[in-house]
Amino acid sequence: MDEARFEGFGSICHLLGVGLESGRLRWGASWVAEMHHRFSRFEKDSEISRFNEQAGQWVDVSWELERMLRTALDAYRLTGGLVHAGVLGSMLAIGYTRSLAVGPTSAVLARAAPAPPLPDLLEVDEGRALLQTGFGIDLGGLAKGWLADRLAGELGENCLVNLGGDLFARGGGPGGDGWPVGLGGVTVLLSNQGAATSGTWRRAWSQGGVRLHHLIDPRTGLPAVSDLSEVSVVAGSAIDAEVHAKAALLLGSEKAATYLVRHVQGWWFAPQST
Amino acid sequence: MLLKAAATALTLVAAAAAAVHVGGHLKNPSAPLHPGVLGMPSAVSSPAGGWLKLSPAVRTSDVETVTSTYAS
Repeated sequence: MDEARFEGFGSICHLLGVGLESGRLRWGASWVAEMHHRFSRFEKDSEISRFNEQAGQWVDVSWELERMLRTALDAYRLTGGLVHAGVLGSMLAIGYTRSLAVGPTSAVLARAAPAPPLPDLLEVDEGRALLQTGFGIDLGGLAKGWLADRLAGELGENCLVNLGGDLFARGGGPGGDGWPVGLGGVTVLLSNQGAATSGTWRRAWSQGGVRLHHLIDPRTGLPAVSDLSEVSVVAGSAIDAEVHAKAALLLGSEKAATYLVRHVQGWWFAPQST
Repeated sequence: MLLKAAATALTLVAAAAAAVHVGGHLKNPSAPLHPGVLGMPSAVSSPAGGWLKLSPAVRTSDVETVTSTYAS
């Protein structure tokens, strides 16, 4: 089994493969780096940054950005608006204006507001998209999940792509019966399945005694308040796992189980106290 | 003529009876009919704390993990 570990999307990425052609993992790592430069909002010249800067007009977009924006709209509809890629304004208001490796800036919570419905802000057509003036898109975890699925589809028939916790396991893994992945304190064997975790304890900081974190609740425009600190999910793809894990965390423990049973293959909840 | 009237009446009665039967057996949209529900065991306490729930589509193992999903 070959593997490569490197930084990307502000987190650790991990690629694994069995029987891959020589150089495939190196190619995969360079592809992830390229995608990071194209779709990170912290890269000034990235495609997503330029798209946000051109709000108010139709903009030509790449095939990848078009698909990710369509995925964002699908996620919004599927989760009843809980997974909302148009909360960049709130992200900036709470001080998440740059990579947290550099550190947050001062929060101005009065500027955080509930987000209008995403379909009112974002239209996607073939090869182009329109964002309403005054709004911005943060692809965040959606990009990682979507890209993990894409890369696993290209890397080889027996591989695992883990982009900062959003992962897709393709094929039978090293033992042939699935890739052994840690989830909620147990080992699960994943084969042609995705997994992701959403949580509020990482990418979190305090300002003036107020605890802030990156997971915005679009209903309030503020960092989510949930009785769950972390939700991990197994689903048919990394993007599905990402979307449903986030929605479940926002719903809270009472409603999340009922929600997840309709959408995913397994989950782990951690309450705030653990 | 009498035969036609009888046939028409019989058809109408059958249609009305069918409507009453169907109306009395409406699908309950909240009924747990999804396969995932049928195959999903109850949640169990997790070694890492919290609660774990896995369908038969997700197998567990004692094999050492090669990677993990985690919040980032």
